[in-house]
Amino acid sequence: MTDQEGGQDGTFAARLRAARARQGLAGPRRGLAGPGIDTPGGNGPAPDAPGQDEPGRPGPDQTDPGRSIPGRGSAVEERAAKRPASQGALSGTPWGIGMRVGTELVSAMVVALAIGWALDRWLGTKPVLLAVFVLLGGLAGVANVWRAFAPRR
Amino acid sequence: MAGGEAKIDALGQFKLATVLGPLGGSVNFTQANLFMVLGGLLVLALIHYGMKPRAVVPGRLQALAEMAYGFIDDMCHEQIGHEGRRFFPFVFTLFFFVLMGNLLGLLPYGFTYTSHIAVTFALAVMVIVIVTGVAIFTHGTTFFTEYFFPKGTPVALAPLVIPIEVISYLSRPVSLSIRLFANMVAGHVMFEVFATFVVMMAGAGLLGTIGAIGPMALNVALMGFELLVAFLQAYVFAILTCIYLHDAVHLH
Amino acid sequence: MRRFPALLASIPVAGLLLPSAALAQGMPQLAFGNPLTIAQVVWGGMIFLVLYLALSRWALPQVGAVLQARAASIADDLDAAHAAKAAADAAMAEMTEATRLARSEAQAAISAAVDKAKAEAAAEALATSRRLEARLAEAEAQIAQARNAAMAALRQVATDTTLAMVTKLTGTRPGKKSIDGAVGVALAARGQT
Repeated sequence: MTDQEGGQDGTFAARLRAARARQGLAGPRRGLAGPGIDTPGGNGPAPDAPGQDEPGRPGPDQTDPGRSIPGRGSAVEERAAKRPASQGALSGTPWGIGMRVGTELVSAMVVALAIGWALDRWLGTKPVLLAVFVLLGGLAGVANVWRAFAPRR
Repeated sequence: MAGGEAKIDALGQFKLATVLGPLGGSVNFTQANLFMVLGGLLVLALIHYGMKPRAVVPGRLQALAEMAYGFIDDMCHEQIGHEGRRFFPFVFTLFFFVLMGNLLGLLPYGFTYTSHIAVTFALAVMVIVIVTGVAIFTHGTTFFTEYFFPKGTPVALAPLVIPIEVISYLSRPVSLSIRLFANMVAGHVMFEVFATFVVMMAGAGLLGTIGAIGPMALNVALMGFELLVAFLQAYVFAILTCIYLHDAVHLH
Repeated sequence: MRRFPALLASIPVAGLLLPSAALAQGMPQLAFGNPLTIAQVVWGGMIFLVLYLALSRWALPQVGAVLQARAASIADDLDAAHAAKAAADAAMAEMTEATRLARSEAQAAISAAVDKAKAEAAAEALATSRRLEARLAEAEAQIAQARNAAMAALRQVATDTTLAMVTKLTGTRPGKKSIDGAVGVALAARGQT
């Protein structure tokens, strides 16, 4: 953030206060600031599932780049910086997690079964590769699940 | 579903039939495709009529169109990074294609084309093909070694790791399509089942009519839940696409 | 699952049980023998492609243009606000500078006036003291003159007195010359000429 004028907390009201204090203008706050207006506009979080709160969403006190007068050029960087790398691709309700884990396991198994069956048919090693690929499919399913919930770099 | 000899036929609703009379019949144009066209036209109409005023301060419809734009734009930017811009139209199309399928299916006489595994699997395969194409285009063949045999893995583990990674990679379209398909089918089957209960119980006299309130209320609640699922599944489909694209662009 | 309301809990259970039961009846989705199953995918692909082209070429750029225009106008407004703020700051600084300048000018004028007044007063004092000194010197000169005159007269008086006294005492009249010398010696002894 290259905002040299704003206060520590980025809310506009705080900045306004800080700027006023610096200028010695302790006038009444104009109707500009206040949390009431800070509705997420076009870029706010859209209706996710309740309880499916995603980490990394900026809170309601996010500074709308359009509303901060000081440091206007840095608005874009601010917005980018405020976005921590989203971690753990999808978290959510227990039911959602269970469903996701199940799907990952089942789909890996389906693919493994298909590959094993096809290879067996092709190479004429009827049950052997199928068995091997069932094991591999289980492992791949676990890998899928791990990948889905491990924090992303 | 006829009221009299009601029996649970939960799957009839998924049956395909040609529409538009003999013209549609001659080219196998089904009601699924009709709803795809409808959904697409709805999205285009939303944007076209929403953005017509081109107002700096948006009205209601324009705000909706802009919200849709911003939602997907942010998703691309957050999940993929700077390169997300390039994939934005694709993710947008994908999200709304799926969302419209999910939502239109909830309307009376609607048909949920996302409840057909063939459709969802085709979408998922398309996603994976595009993702793989992007990965190869961006990184060349190093993508294969990078992805299926990550650096730092002991060579001795290659026979184990490579098949696992390949299976894992190939399971993406399967899980992607099964998730959407299963969610949609389950919801609609339950609708049908509860609705049939209502009809059957209402046909069984006064006591049954009172008892029919139960499944009726359940169906109303289910409708709310299904609206949520419709949105959520489209979201999941789109965001997983974004995550896969991220992996393709950045190699993990 | 424990934390779920009963309704939500019942849904997954039913959702899991019903499709498996229904599978026996044959799901239309899995009827791949039906040409329509594949036909819908082919049509779907075409529709998706058309939708993609329409969105990416025609619809989405409109939204993007409006959003960009808005961002630009916001940026312009912000720039204007910045310019106004800078102008106000500049005016403020100018005013402060002008005040400072005026103050220092006034200070300079005051100190100059004070200096001038001081110098005048000093000059006048000097002139007065000169004049006084002159008069003092004049007076001193007059005094000295008077004293000298008196002194000269004193010698005459002393000489006459001495002559008279000596004549009376001795009966002889001393030479005028010796008396005058004696008076001169006595006067010299007293430090007077």
